[in-house]
Amino acid sequence: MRLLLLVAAMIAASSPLHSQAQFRPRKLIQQRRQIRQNHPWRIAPQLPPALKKALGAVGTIRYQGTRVIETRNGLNRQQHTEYVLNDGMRSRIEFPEDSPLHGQIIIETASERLHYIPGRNVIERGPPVVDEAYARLAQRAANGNVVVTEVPGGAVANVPTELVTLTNKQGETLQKLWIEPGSGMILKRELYTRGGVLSASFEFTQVNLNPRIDPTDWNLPRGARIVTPEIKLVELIRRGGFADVRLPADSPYKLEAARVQKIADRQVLVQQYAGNGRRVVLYQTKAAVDPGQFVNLPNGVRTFAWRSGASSFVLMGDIAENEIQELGHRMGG
Amino acid sequence: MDEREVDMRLAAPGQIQVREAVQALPEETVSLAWRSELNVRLRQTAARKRRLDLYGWIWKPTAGLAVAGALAVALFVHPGVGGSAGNGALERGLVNQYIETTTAREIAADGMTPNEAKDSSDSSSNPFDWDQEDVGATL
Repeated sequence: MRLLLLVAAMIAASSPLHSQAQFRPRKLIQQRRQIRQNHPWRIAPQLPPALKKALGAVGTIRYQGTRVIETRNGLNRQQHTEYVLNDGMRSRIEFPEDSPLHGQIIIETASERLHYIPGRNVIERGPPVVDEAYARLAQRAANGNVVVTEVPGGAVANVPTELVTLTNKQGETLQKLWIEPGSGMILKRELYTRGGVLSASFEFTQVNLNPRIDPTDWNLPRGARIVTPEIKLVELIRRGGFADVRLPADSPYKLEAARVQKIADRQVLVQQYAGNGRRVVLYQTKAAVDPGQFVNLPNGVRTFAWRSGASSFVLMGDIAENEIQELGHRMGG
Repeated sequence: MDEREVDMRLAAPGQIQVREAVQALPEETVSLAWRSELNVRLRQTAARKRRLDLYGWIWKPTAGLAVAGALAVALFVHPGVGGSAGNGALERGLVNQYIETTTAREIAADGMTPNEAKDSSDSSSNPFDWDQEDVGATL
């Protein structure tokens, strides 16, 4: 009996579980380094120090803060406030009591995004989206046609910042970032249209760069039903009488959202995909679409349109011409 | 054979019988009524042809245009395609939708985009009444 116990103890001592526990801190550091290296963007060496710090801090930075997001729909600007808690690749977002979004919770990790909607007792589960914002920023900053400058930016949320500005060769401002230089946290960001109009922004009004984070901060209410974008898409196709056409499963782009939207008085099934810091959208409508109308598109946006049966399809994305064509052909275009 | 012998043979009873039979046949006068009818018909046909020739410059181009139109419709108009605004409004709308959602995601990062807010803010406008079988899992 004693011999058996001894053998069991020896096996337990040499098991991977034990060794994992023993070297956990090193493993954690390795994981963090790996996360940093796995970002789908490259930090160009010529970038100003504050921007380099910000792009390098994604996946490791910790903070808690209040963020005001403003977006523009046509000429209408809309704002909402979020409470944000961030620990590396994990974040939790809640909304103030006076917000129509109050009660909803968003938890994002390196592998998924969970959006809890209390009124429906539903959790919408999709792929993580945070990388896309930074990948686009890195791509744009590394573009040789863009000039990147850095000057002192004053205080944002009572924190001193460096102001990084991206302008095109015509001198038009493309975007501005106010970065806390020590941590690399982006405290304020503004995006502009080609004509120099402010199209979207966010700003932290309060921030704590050393928050206390409890493991329960990543919990969501139990008993909620899980709905994925794929489930939603199947239901929209069935109820709307749309053709079951979607991006191939082996493409690098994952379905992020599906919805039926009224665009120019037409019912359009919109499938949003994202991957590698790129965004691809597949539109389907019963109305005829003229591919010749897709002219003067913003830099890098390409389209591939075709008609099949009673439906028109338009694939749109900021990806290479041959890639969008290949995707379109694989879907029957 | 001399003349007298010919007269004798013609006066033979067989010859006389044939002569009498032929003389007994009724004498018919030739009728030209059919020719008259034919002339009338020819005149009518000629008049109709003249009328057709007279209006030909109208109906021939009209028929040509009709055929060309039918051909164009068959080639370029696809039944069941659905109406198109035709002024590029739909195409512009799709491009705007793409730019706005991309910009919104870029600025919101892990936060909420306007589309997400719209989809989720009003629980009463839930487009789906999910069954447990539909969703398959709970957290």
